[in-house]
Amino acid sequence: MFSALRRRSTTFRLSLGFVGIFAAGYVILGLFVYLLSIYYLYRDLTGAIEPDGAEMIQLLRTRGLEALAADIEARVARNPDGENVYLLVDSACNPIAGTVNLWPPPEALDPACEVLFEDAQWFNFELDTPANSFRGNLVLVRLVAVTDDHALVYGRLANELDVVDDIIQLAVPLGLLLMLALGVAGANVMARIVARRLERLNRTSRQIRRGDLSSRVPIDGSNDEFDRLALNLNEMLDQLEGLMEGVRQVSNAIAHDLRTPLTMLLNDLEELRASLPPDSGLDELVEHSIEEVGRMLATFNALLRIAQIEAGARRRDFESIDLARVATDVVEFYWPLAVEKGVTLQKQLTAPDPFPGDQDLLSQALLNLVDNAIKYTPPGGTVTVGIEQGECGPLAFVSDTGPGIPASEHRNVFKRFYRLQADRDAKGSGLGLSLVAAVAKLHGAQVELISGNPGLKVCMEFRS
Amino acid sequence: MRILVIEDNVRVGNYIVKGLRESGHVAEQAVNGNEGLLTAMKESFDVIVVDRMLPGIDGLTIVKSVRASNNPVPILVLSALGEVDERVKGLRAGGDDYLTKPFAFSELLARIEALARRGVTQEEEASILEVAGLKMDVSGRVVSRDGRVIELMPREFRLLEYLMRHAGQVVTRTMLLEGVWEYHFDPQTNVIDVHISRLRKKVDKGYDQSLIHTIRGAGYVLRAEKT
Repeated sequence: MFSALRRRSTTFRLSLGFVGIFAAGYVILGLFVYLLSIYYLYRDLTGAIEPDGAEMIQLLRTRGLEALAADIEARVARNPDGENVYLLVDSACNPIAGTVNLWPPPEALDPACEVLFEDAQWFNFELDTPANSFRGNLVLVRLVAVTDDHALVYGRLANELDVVDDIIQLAVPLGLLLMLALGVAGANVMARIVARRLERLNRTSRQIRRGDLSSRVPIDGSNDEFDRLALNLNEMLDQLEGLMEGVRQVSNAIAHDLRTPLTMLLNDLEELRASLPPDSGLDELVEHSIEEVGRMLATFNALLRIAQIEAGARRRDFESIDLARVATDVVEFYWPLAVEKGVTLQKQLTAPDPFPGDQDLLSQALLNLVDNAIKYTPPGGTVTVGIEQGECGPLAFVSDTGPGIPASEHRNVFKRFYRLQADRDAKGSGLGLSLVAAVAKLHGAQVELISGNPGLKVCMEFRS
Repeated sequence: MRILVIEDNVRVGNYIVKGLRESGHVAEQAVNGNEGLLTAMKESFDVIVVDRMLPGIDGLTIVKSVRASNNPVPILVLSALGEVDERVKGLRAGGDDYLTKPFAFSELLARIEALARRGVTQEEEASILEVAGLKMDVSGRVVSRDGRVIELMPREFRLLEYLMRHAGQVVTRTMLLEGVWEYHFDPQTNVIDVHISRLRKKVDKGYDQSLIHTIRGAGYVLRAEKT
C-alpha cells in the first residue's frame, strides 16, 4: 500500500493528514462520550439509592439507633437479589449489621475510614469475590456518619459502570483502528484517481516533448479543475503549434518559390557553359556559379524534404524494414569515400526484429550520420555502423573517433542550419542532422548523442 | 525522336520543348489535359512527357487512358510532388519513369533517351551484354574484357550492368542512385563519382580505349569512343 509512488504523492500525503485530523477528533469525541456515559450512569445509580438513605437517616433521627438497625435487617431481608447495600459500621469501619458480605476489610478502604467519616461521599470498591454471578463485584456506596461511633452505608452493586467502561475502552480504539485503515485505503484510492487524471497531462506533455506537437490533453467534459487545466493547456498548445507552423510555412514557401527560378538559372548557366568558346577564360567563373546555385538548390531541396517528412504523410507507405540490410547497403555505398580519406568504415551488425518504416528515409538518415562521421574523423580513424536489438526495439548507431561534440551542444545540433562554432566554414547545409531528427520522429525513434572517448556515438533507438 | 510534352506551365513547357529541339528531337507541346490526351491518342510518339497536375484531365488519367488503348509508348511523369507515394502512384498508373520538379534539363534529357531506348528494345532483358570487347554474363556474374576476366564486387557489377544496359546513353547520377542503389533521394555527396572512378580503374586501366566517360554537368556514358 505504501509504494514509493504513494509516498511521493501529494494527494496521498494530504489525505493522510486529513485522516490524522479526523482520528484526533474521533479520540476527543470518544473521550467525551465515555465521560458523559459514566457520569449519567453514576447519577442514575446514586439517584436511585439516595431516597433509601434519606429515609434511614430520618428514621435514626426520630427513633434512634436501635430502630435503624432493625430497619436495616428488614431491608436486607426484603432484598433477596442481594443487590443493595444497607450497612451499619462502627468508627473503625467494621461492619455491625446489614449486608456485611458486601463490605471490604476496613484497611482496604480507599479513601481511608477517617476521611469517609469526615465527609459523606460516594465511593466505590471492588470485592475480592463476586457477590453474585450477574452483578460482578463493583460496589458503589455512600458512607454517612450518623453518630460519633456509627456510620450508615448505603449503595448497590454497580457493575454497569464496569461494563460500560470496558465496552467504551474496547470500542473507541477498535473504531480508531478501523477508521485509520479506511482512511489510508481511501487516501490511496484518491491518490490513484488524481494520479490517473494527471497522467493524461503527463502523457500529452511527453508526446509534445517527443515532437508530436499535434497531441492534446483529452477533455472529459466534466468541467472540473482538471478539465479546465487541460483546456488551458490545449489552448496554449494550439497557439504554440500555430506559431511553429507559421515559421515552417514561411521557410517552406521561400524554399518552394525559389526552387523553380533557381533551377531555371542553373539550366541557363549549364547552357552557357556548353556554348562558351573554348578560349573565353570564363570557364572557371561559370563553373563556380553552377556549383553555388547547385548548393542553394540542394539546401532548399533538403529543407523541403525535411518539411515533407515532418508532415508525416509517408507513414502511410511504411513497409517492414530489415535494418541490418539498410546499414549494409549504406556501408557499401560509402566505403570508397572512407577509403579515399583513409578512414576505416566497419560494420557491427546483428539482425534485429523487423519493424515498419520507410527504407528510403532510413537509408538517408543513416547515410547522413555516416557522412558526418567520416567528415569529422581524421585519417587513420575508424567509423563504426552498428545495428543491434536494443531494450525496446532495434537500435542503430554510428560512432567515430573524431573530435566529438561538446555535451552542451548535443541538443542544438538537430536544429536547422545549426553549426558548431568551430565548424562555420565547413561546407554542407547544416541540415543533415535535422533530417536525421525528422526521420527518427517519423518512426517514433529516439536519437541520442553520446560522447565517446574519443569521438561521438549517435544512437537511434526504435520501438518495435 | 518525336516527343510530346504535356505541361500547363508555359514557361516550363517552352523550356523543355526548346531544350529538346536543340538536342535534335521533334517536340510537340500541349498545355492542358484534354489537348494532351487528344494528341497522344491521335499521333504516334517515341516518348510522352506528362505533368502530374493538369487543368482539365489529370496527368495520371492521361497515362491510364493511353495504356488502356494498348499504346506502349514510354511515358515520363513530371511532378512537383516528390513524395514516395506520388511516385509509386505515377508508376502504378502505367508511367515508366517519374521525375520531380524542379529538375535539371540534362536529367530530363537523359531519362527521355533512356526511355526511348527501352521502347525500341522491348524484348526481355538480355543476359549477355557486350560493348566493344567488354563482355558481361549477367546470370553467370562474369565480366571480361578482351577475354581477360575482371573481378568486380557485387555493387560494382550492378553499376557496370546498368551502364552497359544504357550503353551509348548519358546516365545521370540520380539515375545511377535509383537504378543501382535504389536510393530515391539526393545524398549530397560525390560518392557516385568515387564509385565510378574505382570501376573505371578496373575496366579501363591498361587499355588504349576508355569505355567509361564523364559528361560534364550531366553524368556518365559507357561507349566505345568513336574518333
